Amino acid sequence: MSSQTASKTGYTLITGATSTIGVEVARRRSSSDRLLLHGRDLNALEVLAAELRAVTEVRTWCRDLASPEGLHAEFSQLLEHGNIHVERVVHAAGHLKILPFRSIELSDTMAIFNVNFFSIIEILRVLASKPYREHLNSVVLLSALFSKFGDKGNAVYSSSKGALNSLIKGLAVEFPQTRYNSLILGAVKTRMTEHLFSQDENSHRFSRYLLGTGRPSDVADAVDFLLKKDLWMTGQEIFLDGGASIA
Amino acid sequence: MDKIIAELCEIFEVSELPVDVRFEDLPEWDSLNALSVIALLDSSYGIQIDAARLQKFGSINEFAQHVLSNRK
Repeated sequence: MSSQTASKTGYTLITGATSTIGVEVARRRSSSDRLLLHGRDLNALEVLAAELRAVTEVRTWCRDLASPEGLHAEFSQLLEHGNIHVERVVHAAGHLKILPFRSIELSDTMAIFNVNFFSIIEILRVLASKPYREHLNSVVLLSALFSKFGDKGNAVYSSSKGALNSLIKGLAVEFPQTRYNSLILGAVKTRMTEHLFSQDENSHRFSRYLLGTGRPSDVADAVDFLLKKDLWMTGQEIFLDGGASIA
Repeated sequence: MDKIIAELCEIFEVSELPVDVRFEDLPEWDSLNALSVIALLDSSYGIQIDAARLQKFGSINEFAQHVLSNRK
């Protein structure tokens, strides 16, 4: 243990670690951080953990974020029993549903908001408490371009991401010893979004991407920057979108 | 059969639908309404279908028959 570098004394929690972006971030961070990998698919989680245990210490947390009841207590216990100090958080878990607004049912809205927003509030409430907040250096919440611009069929999902954009500002001010930033992502082809890339009628979505659509490695690049220790940035919404928002 | 047509009317926000035309011939047809039809099939009839398949039906009637025969 004494030979560990300072950056490896604490953990990076990645929610949705088995998602397309989550996996990329986990692999990237494995070279410098201990990892606490969260996901809802136990098998996928264990496979990823096994791969990364070759290079760093990995703990896993299998939990569906669609039901945030009890999440606070469970996460508290996980940290306490595992003697885990979380220094960084990347919230990569997300639930997408694009439908005409008239067709969205309350159960869809709840599913979207539970995974995207309410769950990370519960997690961060634990990390903001006295035993943990002194260790928490940086939190990055993955948000979406359409939280800042309108998109048909996207109002509910986008508002759940918009909620994250506001959350980081309040938290940045309330807990100045921790950096809280949101990453406003343009289109990245992932398991969650691939259906949007395959349909011809969606091709208009991508015509404004000056640099083309994004890759998971592009996201990991930005996450690396935002997780930099003592970064002089907090409460910010960082646009990573291949130029889509200005075209 | 009437139930499916009624559900489609609600999605397209019309009081009646010409059932012998293709989906894409409907003035109300767009990619968003397609998503609603897909969601309806999944949640109410247990049928998974994509937008490309929807457009292949020769008529809305044919689509409704398909749903009735394949519902789970």
